[in-house]
Amino acid sequence: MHDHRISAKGGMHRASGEVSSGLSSRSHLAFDHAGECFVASTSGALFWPDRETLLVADLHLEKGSAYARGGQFLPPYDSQATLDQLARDIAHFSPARVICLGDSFHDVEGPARMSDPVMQRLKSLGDGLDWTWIIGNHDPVIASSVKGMVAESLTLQGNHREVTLCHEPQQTAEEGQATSQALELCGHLHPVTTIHARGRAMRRKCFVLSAGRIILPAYGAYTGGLSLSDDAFAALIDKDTRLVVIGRQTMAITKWADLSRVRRR
Amino acid sequence: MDAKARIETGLPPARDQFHARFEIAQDRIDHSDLPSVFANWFAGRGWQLRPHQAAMLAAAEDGQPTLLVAPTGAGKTLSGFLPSLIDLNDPDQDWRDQLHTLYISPLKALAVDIARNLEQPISEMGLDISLETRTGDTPAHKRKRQKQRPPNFLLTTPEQLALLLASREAESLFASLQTVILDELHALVTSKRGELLSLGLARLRKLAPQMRPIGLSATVSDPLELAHWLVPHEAGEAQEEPQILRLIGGTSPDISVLNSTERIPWAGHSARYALPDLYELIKQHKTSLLFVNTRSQAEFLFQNLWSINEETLPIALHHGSLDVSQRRKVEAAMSAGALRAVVCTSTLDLGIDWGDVDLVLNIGAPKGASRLAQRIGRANHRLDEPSKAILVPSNCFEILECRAALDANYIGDQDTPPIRKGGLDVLAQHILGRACSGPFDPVDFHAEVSSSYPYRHLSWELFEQAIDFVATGGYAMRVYEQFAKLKPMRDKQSGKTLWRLSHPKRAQQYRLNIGTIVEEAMIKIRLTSWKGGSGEPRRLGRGGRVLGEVEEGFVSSLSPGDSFLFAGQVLRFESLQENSAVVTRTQHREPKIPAYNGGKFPLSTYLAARVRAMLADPDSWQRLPDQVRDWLALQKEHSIIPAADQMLIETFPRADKFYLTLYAFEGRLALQTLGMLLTRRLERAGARPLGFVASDYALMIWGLRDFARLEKDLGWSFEQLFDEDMLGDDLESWLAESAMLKRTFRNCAVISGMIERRHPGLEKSGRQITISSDLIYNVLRDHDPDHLLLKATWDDAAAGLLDIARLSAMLARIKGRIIHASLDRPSPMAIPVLLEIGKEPIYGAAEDEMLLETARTLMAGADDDDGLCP
Repeated sequence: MHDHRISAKGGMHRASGEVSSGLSSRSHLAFDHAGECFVASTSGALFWPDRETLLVADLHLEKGSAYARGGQFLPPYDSQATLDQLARDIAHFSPARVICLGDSFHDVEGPARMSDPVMQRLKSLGDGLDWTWIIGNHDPVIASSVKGMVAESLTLQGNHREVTLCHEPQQTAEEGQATSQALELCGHLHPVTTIHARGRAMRRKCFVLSAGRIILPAYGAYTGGLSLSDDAFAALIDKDTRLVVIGRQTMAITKWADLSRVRRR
Repeated sequence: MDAKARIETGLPPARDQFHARFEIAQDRIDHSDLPSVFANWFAGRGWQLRPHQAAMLAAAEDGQPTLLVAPTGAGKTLSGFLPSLIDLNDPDQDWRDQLHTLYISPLKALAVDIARNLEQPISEMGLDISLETRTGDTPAHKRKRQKQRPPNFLLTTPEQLALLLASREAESLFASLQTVILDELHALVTSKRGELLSLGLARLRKLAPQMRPIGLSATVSDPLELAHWLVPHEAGEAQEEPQILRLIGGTSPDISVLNSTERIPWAGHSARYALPDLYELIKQHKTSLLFVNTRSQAEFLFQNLWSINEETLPIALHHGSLDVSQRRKVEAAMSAGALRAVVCTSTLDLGIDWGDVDLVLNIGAPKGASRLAQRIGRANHRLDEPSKAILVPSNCFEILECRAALDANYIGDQDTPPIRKGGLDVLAQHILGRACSGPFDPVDFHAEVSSSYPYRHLSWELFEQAIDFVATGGYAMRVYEQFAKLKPMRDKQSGKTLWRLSHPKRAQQYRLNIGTIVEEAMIKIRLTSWKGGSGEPRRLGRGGRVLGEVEEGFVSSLSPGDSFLFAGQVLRFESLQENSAVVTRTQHREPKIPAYNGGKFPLSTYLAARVRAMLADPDSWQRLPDQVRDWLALQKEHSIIPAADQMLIETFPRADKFYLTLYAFEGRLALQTLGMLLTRRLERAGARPLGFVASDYALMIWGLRDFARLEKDLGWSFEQLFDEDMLGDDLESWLAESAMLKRTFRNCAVISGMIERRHPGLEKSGRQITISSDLIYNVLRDHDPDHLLLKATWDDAAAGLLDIARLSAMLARIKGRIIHASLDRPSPMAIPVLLEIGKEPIYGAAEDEMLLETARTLMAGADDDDGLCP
């Protein structure tokens, strides 16, 4: 089997499938879906080379301080950690445009609680970039103090069809099969899957690739996951759904149906 | 009356230079002046005061903190209460609605049981003493009343004590307190519950200076330390002299190793071979208890016993995951004498009276002497008859361990772990609790906290940090000040700065998160069935009976259709609905998924040394079964039998990988840590290790290069490999990503209040609401490595999960004593370890490899290049 990965900024090359010690070169994985080529990162970001667009979902910035308000003092560094990671992805892919697919802030007051240095960092990240915030259920309103465009959803033209960027999945897998009109890129569900191998179960974030849709994993430092076996995914996955599973330093692409069939060996 | 028992006061001679006072007036024991109502009651039952009961009365007069050490079944508990009973009988004192004696037990069932046992003498003697229990099951109105009008005797648990102390009524409630009885103290003090209890005890000393603590304990290796736990400290020094009463004697238990004609396997933990023997033994005895080390073993054994239960003997199952009502049913049937056997885990370990058990079967190796003694103590709850117990090893290594345990005849010699330094997470919880009862002066409070034994060395600086942590999270950035839980205030009278709760809501938060037992989130197992059929669409029935709970992690590893063993039956997992796993009955006899693990105990240091010595001495093999002797003889022929002070390393190739096995006999935890460190080191050396598996006895590492040529090819000798410097940098860098440390962190985060517990009913449904403590850990480590909670985590891990102290002692021990056997195939001793691969979790770099391997296997069948970019 052949693997195709990005080794350096934007450029692609054919890596050998052999197990080698240089795991870092495997931290990105390119795949084709609905006629578009994408590159997934172990960080949970998705790069769309043809549109020079970097997509991230569910940053949940200021989740830490949201909990502090209720008396749970989680470390207040989550926004910083999330933005650090985003900065690394931006540096790696050099996108022209960044689109956050909703729930970028854990709540509407998030921007107001954000400390000045972190807010500064967020602003400087967007320098020279076309930045869009898609609104989500956690952040139906984005404070005006935050730089960038705000939209409910966004439609871009892909190579073969329209590509809709939104927070929550809009259509079921069946509808996606049937219409094959638009490709939907969304977040909201925080997908994770469980891999069974050698008597061990590993829970991993993943990208969910179904007909007409890609669901991105949650990107934020404090974001948990929802198992694909949860009812919420029932209408969104079918036998042809593929997953890009994120390992510690590596990624793998596989069919969901196969994965749920395999048991411990 | 049992003549063999004798009371010994004080300590073993070697420790007598210590300042504890142990003479207790021997003459007082014989002609103790019992009040007549008591004397008559004893006489009426044909009893005499037992020596230790008399000694407890004498000790009560002296008013010192007292520790009574006695084997199970000696009537410890009554002797603990006797002085209080007599005191309350004094007609000159009015004790109405006043708390006199507080009894704390680790188990609420035990508290309830003791209450029942005490009611009898109280009513028979016609004493005017009120007695009540207080547990999580006590109705709210009764709990409220208990705070205003307490009973004379209150029987409760450490958690309930913490809750009482955190209430505004604490001061008035405890002002009259005379005695605190701490039952099963040996079991409590080695856990975080014990740390919380020690802080509670310090608080009680403050609220009731006249209060005298009494500790009741099974035999322990260091009674002096345990006694000091009861005593107030200042600047790290004990301020009072504890009194220690040791009851020696009774009859020694009759313990043997199962002598089976069946072939004992080299590996495995099921003891399947012994099933016919076990069944035969159950038939021959009135009531048997079968102890196993994990819940999965319990399920397995129970199911298999029933499959050969031709006479349908009443055999029951009891473990902590089963639904409470099911457990209560078993317990009731047990005390009614309606059961012939119960398969159980440690839930039954502690001292509850179980009626007439005449045989204890311990499946698997004993692992530790104290545990075994407790279990054996379940049989024949009388001092004058020997308890009968049979050890049932499940593999060859365990036979060695069982034999070593018996040879050492050390069952009476306990190996309880030392009492640890008090945890900062527990302290944080206690600080919030203290604030809930009213404002406090930090200086006074520090003195109080450091008067408790586990916190006797707690510095003011660390204490201040802990307050800061409770108040605002303790982050240098101070961003959370606006949400602070504790706020400083100026006391108008004294002018001092006091700390107070910022909002009454925080007290409620404290109450919901009290306690130090952190369990993985549990999911209910709900049994239902398929409805519909012929023509109609099939659907799952709503509702259904709850069979019990399992860890969320286990459920998340199941896919619909998987079968597993639970509550003695094979169940089919159907779906996850909110917080329950819906299951149906299945016809399958063999479950597809091996049942989940529940705690495995590591081999104790003491026993490990005995096993090593036994292995090294072929003369002692005479006492082993033939098959084990043959196994060792084969090992001698094909490899090496190490001397007692040596550590054997074997290397061999197998298939396309190379293996290294080391036989260290240091227990699973220490060897797991060693495995982590060693694979890191080997990776650095370029030896390309892939993974490892650790058992109590051995560690096996496999990889892509020949470990036998390590020195020749890579310049690393085994001596270098095992150098103690491993515990420096390698440990540090490994810890950064260690999954075990993350688990420890989670516990600390919950206990300290950083993460709130999830409560049934309060959960938001499903969805991504749970904050993963792993993520928090990663962020905290990156951004605030000196944070208090990371300190707490490290202290915990070093002492517990990682067993650093033991590993470090081992590395020192094997220095210059490593012997290497380079083999062309696995040796007889390596085979059991090899067979563990696949059953035990695998660690290390292998994890990502497994991910890729799985994905690759899956994709192998798919069209090449399908869906990949050109």
